[in-house]
Amino acid sequence: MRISNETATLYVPVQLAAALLALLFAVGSAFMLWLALDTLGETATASGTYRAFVTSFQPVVGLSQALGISLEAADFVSRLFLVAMLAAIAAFFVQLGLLVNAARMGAPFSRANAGRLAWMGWSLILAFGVCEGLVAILFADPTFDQWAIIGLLTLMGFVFLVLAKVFRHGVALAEDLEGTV
Amino acid sequence: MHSSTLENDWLLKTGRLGALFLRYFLLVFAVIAAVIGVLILMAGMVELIAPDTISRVSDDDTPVSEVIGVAAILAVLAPALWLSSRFFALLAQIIATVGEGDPFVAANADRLRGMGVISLLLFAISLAAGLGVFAWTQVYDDTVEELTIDASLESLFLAVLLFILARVFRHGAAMREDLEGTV
Repeated sequence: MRISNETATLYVPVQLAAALLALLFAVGSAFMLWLALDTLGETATASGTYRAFVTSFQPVVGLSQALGISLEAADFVSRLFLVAMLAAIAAFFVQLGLLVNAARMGAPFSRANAGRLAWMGWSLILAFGVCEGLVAILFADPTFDQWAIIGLLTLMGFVFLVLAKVFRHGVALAEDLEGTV
Repeated sequence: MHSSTLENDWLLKTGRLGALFLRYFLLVFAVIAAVIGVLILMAGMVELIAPDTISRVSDDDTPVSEVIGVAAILAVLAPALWLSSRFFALLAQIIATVGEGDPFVAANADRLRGMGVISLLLFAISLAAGLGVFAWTQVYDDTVEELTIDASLESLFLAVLLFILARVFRHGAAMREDLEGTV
């Protein structure tokens, strides 16, 4: 096909970049999870610096009071949000890579790609709307941006959901047409 | 059958309404920013050139340079708001093609690319604005020494994504046209 040579030059680097970023964020997420689990361990909680950090860090203190749990548990919960955020970003890049791969293989308009777009939308909403924005508001956490809940990337998550729906309708229409031909 | 899908799908319906709302909402603010900016700039200019001809825009504590600074901020804000308005106009048009029938057309690839270009322009504007503010503080406010640019990498990331999607769309639309040609 005449366009495939031209597009392949774009798709391959995009796929590589998506794979690399997915790996980076997945490793980051795993590392943060390891770190969160590690702070649950005895050595960390026994350490004086950790103690000083947890008792003075306002979001953790607020969360511990709100949920009625220990400071260490509150710290662990707040760390899990960061883990989820990084994992969602990794999932976003995985789906992007798969979408571009499907296009490279000659099937850009498929039900699977509509699903991938929807996944990308939900990942953005989870990462920036829920994990960043909601956490910042709920826990008054200064390390997260409160405006993220209505931020550009959350908004883009919804745009991706809409584009996924557009894809789905286009695919349904194409399938109808093929049925009639 | 498919002409009614737009009415039946709540996400597309809300998406379209939301996009149209944001389009006009941002447009109104762009116009307001532009009008106020021009007015302030004119008043400031007049005050600089001929201080006694009009009532002063700036009170005694506010130097004229600050008044012009506000005008400069509005001069950056107005095109940024207008571009954002265009972004949502394009999105609304893409959603509308579902109602018209086939969304897999080359025009939608162009619209996605347009959205990407707008994101890129917004990134450039925020970058330029950051540099502008830094230059301003170097001249008028010697307490600021660090260059902090709020240019969001988000819009750059968004631009790249939209360019990729546009390419995928164009690819698919071309394949569709090829198929129709062979049938």
